[in-house]
Amino acid sequence: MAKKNKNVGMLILDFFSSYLLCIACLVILGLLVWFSTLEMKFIGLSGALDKYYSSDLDKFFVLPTINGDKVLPLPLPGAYWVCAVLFLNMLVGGLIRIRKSWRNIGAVISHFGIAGLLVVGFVDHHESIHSKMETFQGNTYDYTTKFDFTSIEVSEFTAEGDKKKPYVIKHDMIVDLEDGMRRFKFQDLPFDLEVRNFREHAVVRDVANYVKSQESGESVDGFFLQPAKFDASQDYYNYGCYVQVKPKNGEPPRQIILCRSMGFPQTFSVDGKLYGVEMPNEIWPMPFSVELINSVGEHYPGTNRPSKFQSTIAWTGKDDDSVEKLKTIKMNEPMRYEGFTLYQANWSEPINGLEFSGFEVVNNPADQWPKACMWISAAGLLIHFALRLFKYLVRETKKQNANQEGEA
Amino acid sequence: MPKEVEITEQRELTQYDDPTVYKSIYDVVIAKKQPLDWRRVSGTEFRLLNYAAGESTEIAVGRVGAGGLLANFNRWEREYGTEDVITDISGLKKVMLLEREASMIQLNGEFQKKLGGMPVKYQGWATTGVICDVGGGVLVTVKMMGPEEEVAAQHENFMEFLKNIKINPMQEPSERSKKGLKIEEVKSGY
Repeated sequence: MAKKNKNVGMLILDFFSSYLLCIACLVILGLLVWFSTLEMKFIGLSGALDKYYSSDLDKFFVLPTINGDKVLPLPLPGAYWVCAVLFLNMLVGGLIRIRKSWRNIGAVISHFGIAGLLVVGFVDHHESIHSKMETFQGNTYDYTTKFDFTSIEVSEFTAEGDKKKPYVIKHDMIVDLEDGMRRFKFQDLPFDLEVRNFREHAVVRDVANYVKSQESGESVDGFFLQPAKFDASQDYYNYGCYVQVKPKNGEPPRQIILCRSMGFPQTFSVDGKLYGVEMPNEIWPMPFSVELINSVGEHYPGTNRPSKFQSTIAWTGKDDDSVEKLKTIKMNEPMRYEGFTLYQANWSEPINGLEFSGFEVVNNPADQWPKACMWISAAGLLIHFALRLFKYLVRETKKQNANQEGEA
Repeated sequence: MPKEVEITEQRELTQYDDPTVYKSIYDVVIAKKQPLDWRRVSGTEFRLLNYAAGESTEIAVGRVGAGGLLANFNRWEREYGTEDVITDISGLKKVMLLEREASMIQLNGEFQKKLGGMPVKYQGWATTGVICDVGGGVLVTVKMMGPEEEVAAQHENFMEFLKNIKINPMQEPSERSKKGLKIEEVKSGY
């Protein structure tokens, strides 16, 4: 019998619900994980995430690189888009077009759980915020710094030297200023700021000990900004830029160099008041504070890479009647509080006599969803295999009964 | 993004804004107040607090772990082309720094400074330097150097600034940290 002609809509449905598409997606995802893991050594974790798992359309196709410089002529779609296709495949093939009967109820539930996991991935990708909290023993910290989001903070200091609430110039407002310049105005401050020569990775050099190169910026107060090559092993973008303070009172402008690694405000005065400008990664106030009590760890033999580490902290929730609680955070045992998860992420030998511990602090609205999705998938598989077993047992019983009747 | 942007967003203050909260090696020594004429600039390996004033004056607070007072004063002397002139620090002017008695030196003349790693000579230069022994073989140095007129103009600010320098109290582990508390040990106590 001749095959029935299908319209375009049906063909598209067939394509998105096919087993072949599912297999292709899983194979490509496997390759992407493999290549990105290999390339992480050269471009760092954030570089690999940006290259292989980005949702930017201009990174739709990726060309894997071997040994850091050899480009493999194998264009692969980015993992974000492969997951999107796999989600459609699950939705169309595993939920919409699947034959609906009590026999398939387990498979439908399992597909629902897997599709849910992919949704979790999308929510995590678009909504979660990752940051780090670096803590030294005996000190209390109630803030984190966001990963890969720089900022410029401008503050006034009181006569006693205390900082007032800083104005924040966000990452998106300065990252395009590699060649250009932008002026920032502040209603309550007696000056404007002009930001230019933004560099994603740079170091501050002192003119006494370093010779300027062609790429170096101008010297300011004995220092200059030197563009630097990103070090994947550190996975640390040392953002830098030049800033010109333009007093509104007509005083001459002041040049300032900013760099993430400086770690404190560069100061200047206008109209008899002291101001500071600095370039930390975006500071994120937390609804809790953490005091590091102890941190212990071990390195892989002969390396500086920590193999296992854990920290004991005393922490206080700001809306929690200020009751201090103690918690030990290990590598796979994070602490959760009000939507924030603290993972043990970094450790080093004591610095200047103080034990040190680094935490990754993540706010992810879908934090606990994977657990629910896994339970749903597990329940679906359990139902599916239980039904199969039941069907098999019924068939075998019937067969045995028929044989017994035959013998009789 | 336009060429001009008005910034209205202000962040709540956190412990990031407290200079005593330890964040890096630069927080070993703190000075909450600084003269308005000075600009705090980047630190270096040897300069925990580093300021600029006027056209070419530098003010630096450092921590030295070797050499002793005499050797470090003579190191500064050598920058003016003299060899181990100081043999006894008891004759030097005394000032208070970090709640301890510190010795002070004033040098004027031809100064040899490095530029791009190469020595360059400057005429009419001056250095005002203070060194304090904080114990454990560690010295804290405060040094202002630049053109004579600028250094003289900043002398009062320098003397006032000495009063504001403090050893950061937060670079010591807390008592319970020192005890090496572990979660199992302290649970009952909380």
